[in-house]
Amino acid sequence: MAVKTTTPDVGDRFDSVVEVLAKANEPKTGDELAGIAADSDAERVAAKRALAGIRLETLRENPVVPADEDEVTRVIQEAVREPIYEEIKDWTVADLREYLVAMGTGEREIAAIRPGLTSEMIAAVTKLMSNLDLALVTSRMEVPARCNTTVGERGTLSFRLQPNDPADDVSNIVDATREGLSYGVGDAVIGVNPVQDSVETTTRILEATHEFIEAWDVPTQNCCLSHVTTQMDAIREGAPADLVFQSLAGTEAGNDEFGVDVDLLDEAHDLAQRRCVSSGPNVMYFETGQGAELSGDAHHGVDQLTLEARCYGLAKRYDPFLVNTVVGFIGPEYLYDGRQVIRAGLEDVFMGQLHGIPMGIDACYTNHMGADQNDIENLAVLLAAAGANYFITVPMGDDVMLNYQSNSYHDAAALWELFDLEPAPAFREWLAEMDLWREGRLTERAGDPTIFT
Amino acid sequence: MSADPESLTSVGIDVGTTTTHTVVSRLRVETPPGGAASPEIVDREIAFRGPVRETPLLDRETIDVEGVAAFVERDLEAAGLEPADVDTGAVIVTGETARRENAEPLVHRIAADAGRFVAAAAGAELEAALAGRGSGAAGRAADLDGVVANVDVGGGTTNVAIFEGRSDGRERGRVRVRETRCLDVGGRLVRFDGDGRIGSISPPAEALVEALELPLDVDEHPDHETLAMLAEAMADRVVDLLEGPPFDPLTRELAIGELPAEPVTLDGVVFSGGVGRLVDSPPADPFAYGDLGGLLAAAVREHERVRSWPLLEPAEDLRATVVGAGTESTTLSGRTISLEADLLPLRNVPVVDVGDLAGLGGSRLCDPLEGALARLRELHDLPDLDAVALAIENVGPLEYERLGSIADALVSALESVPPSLPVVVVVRQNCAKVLGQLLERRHDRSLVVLDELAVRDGDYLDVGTPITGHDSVPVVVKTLAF
Amino acid sequence: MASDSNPDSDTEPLEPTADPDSDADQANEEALRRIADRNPTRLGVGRSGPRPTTDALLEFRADHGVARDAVHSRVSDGLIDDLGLVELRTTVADTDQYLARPDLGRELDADSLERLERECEPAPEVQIVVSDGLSSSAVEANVPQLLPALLDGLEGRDISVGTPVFVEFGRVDVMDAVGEELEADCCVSLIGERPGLRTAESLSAYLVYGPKRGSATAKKSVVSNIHDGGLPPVEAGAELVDLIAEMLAAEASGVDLREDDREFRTE
Repeated sequence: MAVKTTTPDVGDRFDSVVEVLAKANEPKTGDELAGIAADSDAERVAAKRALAGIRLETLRENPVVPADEDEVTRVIQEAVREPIYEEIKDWTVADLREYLVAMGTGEREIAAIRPGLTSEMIAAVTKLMSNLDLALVTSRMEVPARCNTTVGERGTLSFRLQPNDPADDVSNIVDATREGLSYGVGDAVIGVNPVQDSVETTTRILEATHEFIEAWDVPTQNCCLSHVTTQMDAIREGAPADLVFQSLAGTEAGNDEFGVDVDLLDEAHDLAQRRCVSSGPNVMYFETGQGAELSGDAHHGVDQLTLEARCYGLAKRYDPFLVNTVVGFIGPEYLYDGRQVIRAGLEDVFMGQLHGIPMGIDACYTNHMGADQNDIENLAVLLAAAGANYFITVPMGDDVMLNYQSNSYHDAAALWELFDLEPAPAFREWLAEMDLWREGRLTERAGDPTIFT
Repeated sequence: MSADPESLTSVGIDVGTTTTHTVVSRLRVETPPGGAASPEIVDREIAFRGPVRETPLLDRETIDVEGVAAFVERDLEAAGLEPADVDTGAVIVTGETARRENAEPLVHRIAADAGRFVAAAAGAELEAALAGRGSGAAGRAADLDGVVANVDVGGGTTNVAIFEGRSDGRERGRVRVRETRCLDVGGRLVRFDGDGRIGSISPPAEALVEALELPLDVDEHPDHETLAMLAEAMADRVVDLLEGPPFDPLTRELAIGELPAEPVTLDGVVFSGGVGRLVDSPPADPFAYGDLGGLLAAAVREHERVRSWPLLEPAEDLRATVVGAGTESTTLSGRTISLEADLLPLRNVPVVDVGDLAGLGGSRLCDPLEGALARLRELHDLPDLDAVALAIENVGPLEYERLGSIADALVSALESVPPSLPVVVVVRQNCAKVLGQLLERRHDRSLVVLDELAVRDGDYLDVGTPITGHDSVPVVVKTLAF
Repeated sequence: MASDSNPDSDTEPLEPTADPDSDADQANEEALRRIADRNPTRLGVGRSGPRPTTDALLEFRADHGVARDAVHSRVSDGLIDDLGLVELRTTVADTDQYLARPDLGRELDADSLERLERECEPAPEVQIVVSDGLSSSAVEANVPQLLPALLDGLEGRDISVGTPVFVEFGRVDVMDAVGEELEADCCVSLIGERPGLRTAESLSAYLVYGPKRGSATAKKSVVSNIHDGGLPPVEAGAELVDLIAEMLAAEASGVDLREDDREFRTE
């Protein structure tokens, strides 16, 4: 779906905004598989140069998928606050980068322009930024969100505890929860991916995690990551959920592959606000990941980074509590190795925060990628330095249900120590009450799941 | 079959020494995720509880079969069910009633009347296990991740089932019965007539009366103190049963079946049964039930040893056995099995255990198979049976060539069995379909091969028709010990 | 991590040192062991400071190494010969390209197309395609047991089987190309699953009735999780016989065969 553009901004070497955006991307196998990547480094840099000169107005007026064909485009366009947009529409993408990295720019300055940005503008500037640029500007942004706990405040680093079990056995799920809490993780969410996408399983998992949270008075929230309609049915039948989850794509067709659309998400958000057992106000949880649209043949010839940005544009509509990219899950045909995964992780968290959504990351890889645990530990260090809101953690980094590896429960304490960070305040106090936290560190007692038996 | 393919309607009927009850339950079936797993019963919900009725007797030795049949019919009607709606379940005749002359025809008759696939069963060990599952003791063992005993004290017998709840000891996720211990001690062993005279003393109680030289006689007004002494002596036997070995000679005299050689450390004890439920709350009038039950319950409650036990609340007390029969008697076979569907259902199929074949090869594989079949012929008249079952504990490594040798040995051993008699082969390992395929290619006998089931020598099997959507058959593994 | 309690020291120990033989400690050890034993996840692994213990770390790396090797090693020629498979190749050049370009793993190269015509029986009822997929270890561990059970069982049902082939660098859908070329009634693909750290030896069988290039994933049936700890390969062979017989009788596969086709996973 090429976008016809008459704008001189694009330059004579490229035919459209879509093409410039795709070719300006850092190398990703997904863009190569789609046949839209730059053919050479020279062409890549030429595209970056062309992109640097494009005005934000051109990007606004040439969304990568036309508004009349795509509701995600409409959501993004309708969310723009016009007076702010008017002030910045003549900036080039290069101007935007320089504003972001400028000496005096902090959260206040970024918040001032945020409502005038579209996902395409954010994707564009990302393509001009180096890894250190991304880390630096991310560290300047502070996007907290509140459900039962508050995550994303400066000086804190939170973790999702992911106690998945390959048979959805709730006693095993509770065991893995015990172990995670004993390492001080779980303040972002105790979030379980079920194998079986049924109301019954979802209810069972929500009940077990909710009962555990109540019994031990843990200041956190639960979530069962089944399809949103399954969770909605479970909640309507009384299942105790703190958050409602859904995977998002950056196009209407991509969301159709996921079995959702904006109407359904609106309904889910409305139900979550009324029926979740948490105090809120942020009650939604979304996951995304570069390449999802291509794998569902719903990419419209658009590069995976730009589509990822549009996921955040959609997520923003629902004031989520948690959003994270599952960066290395999709496989080497989209992100080939550790280098591509690290780049994509930095891009995604930066883009999410620039959208104003509370962004975390599942820094992960599968066994058929050219990556290992060292790569995602590197990524964790970079993003902890950059101030991501949270990471996903699983026992010893090994998720035997989803069959991939992520950060370990152990990584939390190392990252807190490295960057002098702490868990979310209420959770930290609870850890102290449990004698698991003292003077900014885990105690000797930490790491023993039998504390919670 | 129930309208909902994911659930089975199951009936449980307990014809006991004192009372008879019926329950109807719904068993929800689910195949766990993962592709290789077999279906399991994941939820057991009781949909109907019939009233507790006195077991009707024609005389001291004869159960009123028509009377029991009428009760069951009325209960099913009250539950809104036709026998055709009942998918599975069990009728068990328990306690002293199992020893009545017509107990065996009774259970077969009631089972045939109650539904399409309802198993007839009897035997103290099975009774103990069902009571313990029904009372919730098995569930408590799982919750505690430990060892819990259920002590079911009824009118005629006391049946103990000890459950191994540790997850590493479970079979396909199900809490295992580690052992059972059964005793002829119950509240109905001494009955009183309307005037408070002793109406009858059953032989096991008589044995205690003689051993203690108590002045108790039929048709006499008993001395309260003397009755209390008898109840205390019974309570001593119950305590000894649970705490031994070593066992008192009197305990050994009253034991039903074998007593264990090793004592067990218990993490919990649950009392169930008509008398057992009174241990927690003895009746104000100990003679309210016209028997020794009230005094026995009080004696157990006051027993010094019992006070030191880690007692747990039962989920069911009076109806523990019938709830167990209704909700826990049916198990499911593995998913990949080999069937000739028109052979099913099969009822009352005796099991002989072939044992572990892992160490054997070639012609030596035939020996244990032929030995098992010889034992079967000794115990049963083959022409009287629906089918026979051979249980193979371990076939050895699951390799194609190896399974071919097992099939060869089976074919050769089965030559001695009439070709018209269906054979059920039960293996523990997940290999029923391939073994069935190998056997089919070798001869054309009627065959059912089932896997992922644990059965023992002397058990009987009832095998139902496949469950819709799950490629698995319901199986009741039971005993028929009268 | 036990801190020594020295009565002469001025500093108080962080934690009271427990008597290692105390009942409480033993009960705790026992509880921890049970949690570790009953869970398929890596629980109860302990820690050194904030980091995993050396043992847990190296065990993890060892399992990852096995999984990586399963992806990057090839099925041995010996096995292909022993099983009597005709060896074919897709248009993929090497492992790196195989991983990055799933599209190239769905089509046979020119030599293979020729070989297929020359050496394989045309128009069989069932065509068997073995591929290393993402785990050569899965093929090595399971196919030698699965294949004879499958072939014998099909023979027992009088179902004709074509010349089994091995396709190097094959994706699941290469069976569409093989089946279409040979005009087979149905095709079975035995292919290594993406390895996990728990097992690198899991095999899947995909089945399609009326193989045709580009046919939808939903038109395919699957039996997954085939390995010693899941569905044993011999039992899987017998199950495939039943499923193939059902497919041939119904002239359908995938969602057309069973609406609630078992949990479907793409590679």
